[in-house]
Amino acid sequence: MQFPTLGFGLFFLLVYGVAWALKRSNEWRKIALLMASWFFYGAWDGRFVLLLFLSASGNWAIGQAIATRNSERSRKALVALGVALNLGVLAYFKYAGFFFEQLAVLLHRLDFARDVPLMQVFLPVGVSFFTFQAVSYLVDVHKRRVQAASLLDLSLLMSFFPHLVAGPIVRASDLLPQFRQTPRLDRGAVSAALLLILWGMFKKTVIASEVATSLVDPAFYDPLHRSSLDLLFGAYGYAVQIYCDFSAYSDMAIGLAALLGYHFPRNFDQPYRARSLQDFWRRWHISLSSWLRDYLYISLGGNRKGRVRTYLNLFVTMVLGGLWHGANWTFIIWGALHGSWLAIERMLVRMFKQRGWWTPPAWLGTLITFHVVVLGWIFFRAPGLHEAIAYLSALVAGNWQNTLVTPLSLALVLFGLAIHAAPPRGLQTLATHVRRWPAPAVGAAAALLLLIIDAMRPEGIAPFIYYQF
Amino acid sequence: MTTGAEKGEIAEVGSPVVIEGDPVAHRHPLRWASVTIGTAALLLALTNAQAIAGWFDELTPSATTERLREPVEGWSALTAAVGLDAPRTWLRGRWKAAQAARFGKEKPGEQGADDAP
Repeated sequence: MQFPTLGFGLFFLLVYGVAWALKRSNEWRKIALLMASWFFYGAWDGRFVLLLFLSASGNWAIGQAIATRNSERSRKALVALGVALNLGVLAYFKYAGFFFEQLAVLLHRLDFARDVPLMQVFLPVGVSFFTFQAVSYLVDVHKRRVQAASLLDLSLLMSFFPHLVAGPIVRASDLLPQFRQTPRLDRGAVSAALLLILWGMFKKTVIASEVATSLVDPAFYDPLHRSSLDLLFGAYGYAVQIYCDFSAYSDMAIGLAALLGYHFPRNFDQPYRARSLQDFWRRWHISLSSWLRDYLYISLGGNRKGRVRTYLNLFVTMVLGGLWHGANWTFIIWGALHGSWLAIERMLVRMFKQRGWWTPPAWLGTLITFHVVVLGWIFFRAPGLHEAIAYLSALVAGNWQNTLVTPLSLALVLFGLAIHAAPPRGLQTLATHVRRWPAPAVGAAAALLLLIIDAMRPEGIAPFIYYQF
Repeated sequence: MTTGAEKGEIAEVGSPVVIEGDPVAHRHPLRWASVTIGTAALLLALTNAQAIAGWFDELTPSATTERLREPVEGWSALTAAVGLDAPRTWLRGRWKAAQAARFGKEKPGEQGADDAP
């Protein structure tokens, strides 16, 4: 069940009605939301619901045990056990196949290729997201940043359908306090929620879908038969596609949760206007980058152990961040590229400051950062390392004949980039006006915009890119 | 410890649905939201009945879908007969024309272009 479909729309209308009908009993309301979330998740595969239930129950039990122990040693042992179990689940589903594949390659080179089992592990949708949520919950309980949650609250935290399959990775410290009281709506939040849902639908079903089918997929499908110009625009197109796809999911998730009375944090903040890669990571998939910062980079020592160690920590954090996306060398290289550039950037900033050199203008920083990010996207999008290298080779071949870019795909790519030059918080400003309008007028405007979006959407909508992670 | 981990990310990066207070914000917000959603749903049912019929066709056939098929198709035909689907049809036509527009001989198909470099 995908967000921008009629099936999901009807499901949400039902959930909205039931949730607000039960507003007098917060517990029953949460139970209803949990059931709805499991139904939503079960629409992919019923077995996934069992995994989610077992994961929530196991983390609840470990969280309770951590909270009730006085000895720091046993608390530490419990949190280590919990983190290891969560990462074990993630490793099994995401990396077992990759591990055996690499092992088979290695054994083949050593002439022992025969008996390696072929593992075809079915990846549960969203497992990376709810596992990271569980890890942060256990660490936060151990550090006494949050109280241990009830089984119902923790299950709902991990299963809540708006963020379940592709984030944002909402922290326990954000959502558990909201679960403890019956939520209340206000017109500002509802206006912002409706605008986010409409904007998200437009970005996903119009921009991302059209750019993907008419430009990006053909460019990456057969790069050797495309010109450098095609591939350059294919790479820019993918930068726009992945932003419009992933940020659309986040926008809709934030909007849907807000209509049920819950606030999620911002997950994207015009990332391609970043002036450095460090700035980019404060604007792109913020919930993942801050998770990696708080639970990995700082645990590795952050910037507290000298310069070389800081660079190494940045590199390791980004490589693991790349690996989080999936077991493929392309993700590892993507992470390594980001980690290396973050380290180089720090080195350069330090050197320029120390020596009192010229400060590069902001636009140059934005231009360089954008192209480093685009280079990374080529590895991220390519199905394998050979394909990524083939794409890069053809990109620099120097043929500038257009065989792919149409007026519409060019306009959408330019529009997708121009979004980043719009005034920040424009949608929130618009929401302050919309909340003053009469409800029928807002409803009519929303219907008109949905009709326009629906007229432009393709017949079938491809799943969100981040469903696979 | 960081701000994000201590207080949650909303304290650090904000939430796009937190809008500055205003007296109008708390005037029957649930009723306002429900009327808004209801109005939008009703208008879409009138002007975009084709989409409902299209979605219905993609459902796995069952006794329930077969029972509902006639009213859904009837509703779609009725709104089309009255002309309520005209705005969507017109918009769709403009969009298809934009998709078909070319600078020259570009071929954005799945295969590499035949006369490609």
